[in-house]
Amino acid sequence: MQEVTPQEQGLPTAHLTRQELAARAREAAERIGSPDTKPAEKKGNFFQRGLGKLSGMAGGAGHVAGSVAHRAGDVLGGAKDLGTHLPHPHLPNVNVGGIKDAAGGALGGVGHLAAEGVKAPVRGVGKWAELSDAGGDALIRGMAHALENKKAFGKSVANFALHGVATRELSYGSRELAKGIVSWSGLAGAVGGGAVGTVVAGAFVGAMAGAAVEYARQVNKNLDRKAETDPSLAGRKAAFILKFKELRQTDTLTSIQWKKVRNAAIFGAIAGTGAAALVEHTQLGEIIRERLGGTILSRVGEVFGGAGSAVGGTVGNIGGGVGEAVGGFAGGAGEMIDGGAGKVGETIGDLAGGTGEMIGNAGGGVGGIVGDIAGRTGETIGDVGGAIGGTVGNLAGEAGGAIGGGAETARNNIPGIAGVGDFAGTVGNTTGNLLGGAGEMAHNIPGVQGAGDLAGNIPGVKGVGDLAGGIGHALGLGGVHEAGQTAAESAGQAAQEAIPTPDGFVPQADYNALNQQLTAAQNNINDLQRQLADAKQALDTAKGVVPVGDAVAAAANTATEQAAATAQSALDSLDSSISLQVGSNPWEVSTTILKQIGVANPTPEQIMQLDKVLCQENNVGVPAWGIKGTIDARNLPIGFNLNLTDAVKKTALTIVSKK
Amino acid sequence: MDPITANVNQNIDEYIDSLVAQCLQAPGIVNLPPDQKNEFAKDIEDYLTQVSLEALVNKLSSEQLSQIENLDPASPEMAAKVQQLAAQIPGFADDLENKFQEAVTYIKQNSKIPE
Repeated sequence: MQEVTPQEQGLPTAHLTRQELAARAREAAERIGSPDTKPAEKKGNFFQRGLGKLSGMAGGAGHVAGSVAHRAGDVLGGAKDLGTHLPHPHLPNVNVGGIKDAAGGALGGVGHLAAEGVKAPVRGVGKWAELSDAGGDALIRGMAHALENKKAFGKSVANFALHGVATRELSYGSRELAKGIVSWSGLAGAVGGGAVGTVVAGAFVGAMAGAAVEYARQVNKNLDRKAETDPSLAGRKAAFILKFKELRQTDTLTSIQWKKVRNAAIFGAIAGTGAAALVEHTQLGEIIRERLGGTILSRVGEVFGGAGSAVGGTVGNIGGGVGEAVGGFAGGAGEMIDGGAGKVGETIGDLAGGTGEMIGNAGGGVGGIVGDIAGRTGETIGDVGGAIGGTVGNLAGEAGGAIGGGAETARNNIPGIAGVGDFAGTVGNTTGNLLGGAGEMAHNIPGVQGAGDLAGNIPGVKGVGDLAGGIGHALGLGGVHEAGQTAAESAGQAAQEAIPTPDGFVPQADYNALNQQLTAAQNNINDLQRQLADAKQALDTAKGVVPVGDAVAAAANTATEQAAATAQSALDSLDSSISLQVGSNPWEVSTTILKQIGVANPTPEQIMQLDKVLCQENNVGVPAWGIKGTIDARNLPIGFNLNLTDAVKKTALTIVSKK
Repeated sequence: MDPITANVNQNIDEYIDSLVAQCLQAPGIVNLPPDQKNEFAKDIEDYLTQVSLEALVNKLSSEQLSQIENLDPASPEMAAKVQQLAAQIPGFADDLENKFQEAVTYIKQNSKIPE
């Protein structure tokens, strides 16, 4: 879009004098609040309604739908790509790609529904705009009230802006401020400077997706989680902060410049808070739209588009996890059933078919593949297999239920995005039901109880352990992942012990014993988690203790020496080189080394210190850090050997001795 | 600078000053000679600035980080962009206020700035 300057629009520039500001505020007040103003004039001046506005809204909705559809296409492509390139590790001979293609199709459906869900708040904004005709005076009162009642850093937002300004009383001042904001709102998008400009432009446009503020919090959490698992982003953030700290330490960045960055961050935070309050409690968005028309609307559309993308991305991630889990289930089931139950595949297919087109596609793929495998040999699954299937089903059911619960919460808290929430909830619950039902079915299928001759030789028993872990991992539930993996490993071991005769049936008593062992294993895991939490708390407490006196200092020195000795021993036990695995990189390798030698929670600075030396020693270039090398760190191939040279080990020891 | 912007900045400075003043009441600091106390106050203020920057950066996505990653830290563009990004993070004011309070609590309890 061609930029139009405020001057070209006939609007004042950012640097109004106080008198000009006051004049504009008066003008706005007269236009908004004067009892002499006729309703028709109000409409003409401020709330121009009609087809133009409606078409603008439609344009915004179209933009949103386009963004979401685009995202859905990306997700679909990504899912297919995943299916092509990532054969399931537990079942290399099975057409997992087919399942994932089906999951990709499912994600297309998710994207479509996400688009529908995002249109809803846009339509809501249209209704909101109509309501704003009720009168500018009420708007100003509402804004003043919102500004006074929204707190940030211990003060009301109004007080933050007005402190020191000569006002007869806060309510009067905040009312004037609200008028000023209305008056300036038309300039904000083009000007973007000054307090009001920041409030309106910097934050309002962002928070204009006000209906999605709560949802955006969920997205933020998702981003946090993603950042935690994205070593390159963590490294960039650490480098960015380090750059500031170094400049400040050398006084290259003066205290005044440093303070400006701080104030900017706080100012932005206040602006965002005020924006959320105003958008939540008033019809300011209508004013902004009136002033900037298509420009703002377009930006709102972009914001909604971004939210839609995030919705698509999040649901896509969940969907991807589901697809992965379904694929994993098929893989594990295939191994487990090696010689068993054609009915399982059919029944899973039937169940999946009942859950709608999306899950139907994925489930159909599962059913077909499981059926093919199952058809090879035999008719039944052993009791142990059934029990493990049940356990897997329970785990998957819990995971699905968690997704469903999360989606339900999101739906309840996000006005206007109920469509997406409903859909995600359905996906989560249905998937949970599907997987849980499959496990339950494996457990209850007639004949299953009777023929356990293959159970003792089931190669998939261990595979199911991985499978359960895989499901937990795929769904992002670390606890389920660990619990599933450990519980199923225990189950696998128990199964081997419980079924000594390869051609005999597994008695019900052994099955019950297995269940008890599974329960005991789960309890052990829970205990272990509690112990770990206690140990972490004790460690955190210990970290906070400030050594006082020679005795404590001596003890601390001894402890440090011991830690260094332990670290040296751990370093000596490491291989002389580490081969990069899928998804690994020098940052992750540095993190792993530090953890192995006793730095339980290495900071980004510590990791970066080691990572730099590791890259330099291996001739790996990191342009962002000024490190030159024959190969760029971002292009390292799988299997690339990183040599743990003496310099690398020395650096690691230095870090340990400083901790 | 328009008067409202100036007022907001003044309020921020006063808010930070109040946090620093709380920290200076820590048992190991309150009785320091004035010159050492002033030096410590500057360090605390620097640290709180660092807290604000870290709180913001930790909330940024890869795309948002790339908007400021290569800007000159001392430039007006950096401050403007930081302001804009901070305004677009829902709930950032609460998050930042909590981070400040955590820092103040630590300094008051330990009479030193976290490493």
